[in-house]
Amino acid sequence: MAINPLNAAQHTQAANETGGGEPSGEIRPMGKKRLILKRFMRRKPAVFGVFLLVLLGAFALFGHHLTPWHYQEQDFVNLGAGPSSEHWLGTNSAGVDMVALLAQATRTSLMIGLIVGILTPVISLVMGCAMAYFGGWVERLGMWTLEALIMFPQIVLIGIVMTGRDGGPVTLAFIMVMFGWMASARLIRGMALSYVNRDFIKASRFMGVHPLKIVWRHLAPNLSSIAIINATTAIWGAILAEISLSYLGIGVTVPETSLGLLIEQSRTYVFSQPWMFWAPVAVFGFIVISLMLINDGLRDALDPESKAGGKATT
Amino acid sequence: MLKFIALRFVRYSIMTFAVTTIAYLMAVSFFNPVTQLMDLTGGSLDPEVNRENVEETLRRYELDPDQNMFQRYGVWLSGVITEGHWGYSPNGATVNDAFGDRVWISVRLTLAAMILSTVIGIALGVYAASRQYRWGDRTTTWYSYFTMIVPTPVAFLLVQRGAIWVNEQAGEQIFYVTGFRSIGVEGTWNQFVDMLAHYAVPTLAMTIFGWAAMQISQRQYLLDYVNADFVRTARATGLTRKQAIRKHALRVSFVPTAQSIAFSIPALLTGTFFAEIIFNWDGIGAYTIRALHQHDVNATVAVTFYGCIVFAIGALIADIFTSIIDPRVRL
Repeated sequence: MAINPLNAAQHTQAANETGGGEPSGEIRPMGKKRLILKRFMRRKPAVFGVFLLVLLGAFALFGHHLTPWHYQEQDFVNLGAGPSSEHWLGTNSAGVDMVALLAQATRTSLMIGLIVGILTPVISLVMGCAMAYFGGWVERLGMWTLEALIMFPQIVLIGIVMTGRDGGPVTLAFIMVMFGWMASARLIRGMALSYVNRDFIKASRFMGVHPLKIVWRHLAPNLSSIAIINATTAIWGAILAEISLSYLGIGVTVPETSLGLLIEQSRTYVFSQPWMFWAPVAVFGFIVISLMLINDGLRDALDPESKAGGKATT
Repeated sequence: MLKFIALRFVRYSIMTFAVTTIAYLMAVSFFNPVTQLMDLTGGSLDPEVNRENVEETLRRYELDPDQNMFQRYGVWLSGVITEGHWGYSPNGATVNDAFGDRVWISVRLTLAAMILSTVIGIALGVYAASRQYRWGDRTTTWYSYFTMIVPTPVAFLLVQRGAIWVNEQAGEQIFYVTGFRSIGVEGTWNQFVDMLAHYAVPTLAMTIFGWAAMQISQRQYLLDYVNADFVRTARATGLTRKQAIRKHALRVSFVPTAQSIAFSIPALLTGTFFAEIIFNWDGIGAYTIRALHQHDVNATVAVTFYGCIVFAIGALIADIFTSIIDPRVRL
């Protein structure tokens, strides 16, 4: 995110006025991070999104305390029973408590989402910036790898690894990272090209700063806003992909559980025992809604031109 | 132009070869068909005898589990190059025979849905862009985003269950939700009706959940040009807003759309995983998933190669399309 000096001054000034209580006339510069945080907090839907995500995270981490049942434990008296006081969301056809299953499934899915959502943007940022900065054979090699990876039928490769080695959720997440960085790396490379010949890059190069350090300290932060927005979309993309792959039987498999696996197991009970099907779908819906709200808020907070964040002087 | 195509061709050939090789080596080292087959044939047999039998069978089909991956790669590659023989599945079927019919089934399943969703997507995209931020735009675009976040299996399952519900309400079999034809239907008209009953549900599902990407991108491309200088100039010459958009903005906005259509044409041939599995059409997608579950090395590699070829053709067509439509692009 390139903040030109004039803009930055306006922002700090504007943000300072909201601070209240400060003696007027004295302008104290505000840190970039605090400024972004402040702009983010002004958006009520985005804050609600964070709240919802924290709630889901708490359910994933502590949800198994809500029920005495374990997610691998069967209740043979209640096979496919509806919601009751004993099983709040009913049981599945094997008699496993749905609350316990859902908590574990949310944990798996959120974990996959987090791994992919953190690693993919970082890799694509570094790869994109490095390709733009170094040029030459680094760029050519990078672009060839990138195109070969795009060409590879991904589901087949994921299938080879997951069925061949009985991989768990963590393996799945890392394969998704491997196949997820290409599109945004190409985008970031294109945008980074316009920074490579700027004076601040040249200056640090002539000062003898190590090239990798230039990429990390000077090039990457300028494009980090794209990477941050990519992160939220990558999280829900990964959770969506997990559902699809588990449905095909090449994602998460029993004895582990995940939202996709729960949907797959309930596919013949959509009408007859709807709680099995709609509970995981609803959890997925909440995850996506919270991430979308956060994504909107982040985009407006990170974009210095945006007017959507409300006025600073109120 | 010819030089460009030749260069691209060489590049894609090298990449296809590399990708197929990697896929083969990975599949050989990861898959374990011996255990799979032992589970199938096991039963009361002594495990050692059973293992001997299974390994003997695999050896007969050139799937020797004792050779290392490079030896097997050599045998397989020379078979492919000299005879065009893509090897055997563990159950003895040849991969070559399995392919032809299934490609045709995949094409038939996706063709109608793809045409419908492309046409509807473009039309709705143009509609939404020409009245930005009014309710027509908001509803269509909102719907598109909604369908993009619904997981495909969930969407298709709901359409399928909905069709079953309609059947139950009507008290007779109006729609078939699995398979692509009934056996023993006589007469041209009856066969036609039977075909419609089988096609309706998958085509509907793939269309209403398929046009979103096209709608959103077409809307965006057109919006990029609606406020461009050359459209304003056109309006200044006395054209109405509609005329200016239709004659000037619309044509330019079709350039990127044509590219994505070019990419989607070959996708017909690779089929779709979810539609084929949920509606039980035995096309390339279902074949791929089955090959993966059966630890079938040769079929998996053949599918990988096929996918690469189809992708390369799509990319080439896209380049050629662009050079035809967009006069600024000279290849």
